[in-house]
Amino acid sequence: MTFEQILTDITAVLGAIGVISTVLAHLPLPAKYAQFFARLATYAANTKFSVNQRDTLPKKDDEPKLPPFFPGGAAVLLAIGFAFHAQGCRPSKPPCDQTKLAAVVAVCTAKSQECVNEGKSEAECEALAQCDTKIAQACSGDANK
Amino acid sequence: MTELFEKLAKRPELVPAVTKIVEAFLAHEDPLLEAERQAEIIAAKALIRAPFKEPT
Repeated sequence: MTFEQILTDITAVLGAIGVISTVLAHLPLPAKYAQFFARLATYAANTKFSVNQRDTLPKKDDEPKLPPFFPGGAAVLLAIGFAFHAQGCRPSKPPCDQTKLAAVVAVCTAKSQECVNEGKSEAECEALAQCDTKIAQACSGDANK
Repeated sequence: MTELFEKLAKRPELVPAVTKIVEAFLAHEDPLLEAERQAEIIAAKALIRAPFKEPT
């Protein structure tokens, strides 16, 4: 890899950083971050290493070439995808705590049976309301609190 | 959608569970996970009420 190639690559990377920073600067982040990214974008956009690398190097037609928008285009796609993912997806609650749920069901079924043995109806069995609350707690995602 | 409303009309006790699933969807959470959770809650509630259903 020649010195000119390195400079060209650095320019390309700075361009990509500029694009990402521009996207980040428009996200609803705290003001100091937005300002930082905006400054970084301006810096990256203004920094250029002008070298005529393509004219000086011998052309190799058989070498696979990346599309002209790479890595800027890929960086934009990544940044947009990441921004949408971060904004669109929220971590879901964990599933029910199976151990706690099984324990609640076991205890509550026994209480329910007691109510039946005492001749109480479903509406009269006060333990059921408490059991419903305990079931909801076991499945609320903060069961281990 | 009409089918869902017809089913809910026949089983009104499922309305809170369906509401929770829709809420999860609107809050960008996983609705399938919420559906699983609601199914477990319904099953557990049915299980603890089983003694009342059994013929004595």
